[in-house]
Amino acid sequence: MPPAKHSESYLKFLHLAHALRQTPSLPTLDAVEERLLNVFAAAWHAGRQISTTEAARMVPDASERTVYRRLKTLSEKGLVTFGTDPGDQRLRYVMPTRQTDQYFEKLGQCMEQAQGA
Amino acid sequence: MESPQVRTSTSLAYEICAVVVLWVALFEFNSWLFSAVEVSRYINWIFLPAALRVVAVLVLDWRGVAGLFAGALFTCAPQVGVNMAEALVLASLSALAPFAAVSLVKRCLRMARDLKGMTYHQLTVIAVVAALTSAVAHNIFFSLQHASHAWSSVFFPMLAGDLIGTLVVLFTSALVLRALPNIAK
Repeated sequence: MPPAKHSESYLKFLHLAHALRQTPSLPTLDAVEERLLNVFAAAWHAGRQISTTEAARMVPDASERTVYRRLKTLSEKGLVTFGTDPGDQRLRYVMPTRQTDQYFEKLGQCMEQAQGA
Repeated sequence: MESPQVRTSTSLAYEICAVVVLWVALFEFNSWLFSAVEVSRYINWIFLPAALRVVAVLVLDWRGVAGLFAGALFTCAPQVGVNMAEALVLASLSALAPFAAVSLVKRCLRMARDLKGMTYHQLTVIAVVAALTSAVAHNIFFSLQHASHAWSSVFFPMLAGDLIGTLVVLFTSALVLRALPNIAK
């Protein structure tokens, strides 16, 4: 049976609201991506460079394959980028982007708001 | 007890009235807020009611078109004065142009009738095509009306106004929706 006109309008409104929620701002991360980004942030903050091989071992309970896959998705979301060592082109490093800084800045603001509430 | 037909007619009237009220309110609010960038009463570099055109047609189909037509008639009739035919044409363009744009984009992008799976990207495409359709349709009418009509002075502000207005409203709505976690998550 086709839905009644007004319920169809409501359904359309819900789908429209869902589309609107997708406006670009904070990228959605899954649990592994979020953990990876957090451990990377700690290392970057300490001034360390992270090679992709090292990155694969930074989250012990995730397999290397999973980490490599998440590095790719993080890169697609613009949250990490890759650079090579000028001395050894085989070495690839995971590096933050401007969006990574914005991401953590936004999280910081959320935390401040939560503390103030 | 009310029959289903009476209930349907009542909800139809409510939906159309809601669009009319929203149109008039947004139109007046826009005129007040953005008077500094107003080209004329109907042309503004930021035209927020353009967003209502897209949303009303997307959600309510023909009922949205009817509401937009009545709303536009309401806002443009006092300005064009005695020329009711002109007011009717302008109101029709205001209501039918977004309908044509939405129908075209829905067909080209193979979007579901109930908008299921619609993405923000598709919504943006609809906003752009609707702005373009409305600006072209209005300018064709103005050209037919006045041989000396200068497209550049009306077309670009109208196109930009519709586009900016729609995107401002959609982006603000997105922020509001994010703050209301229970809607369409």
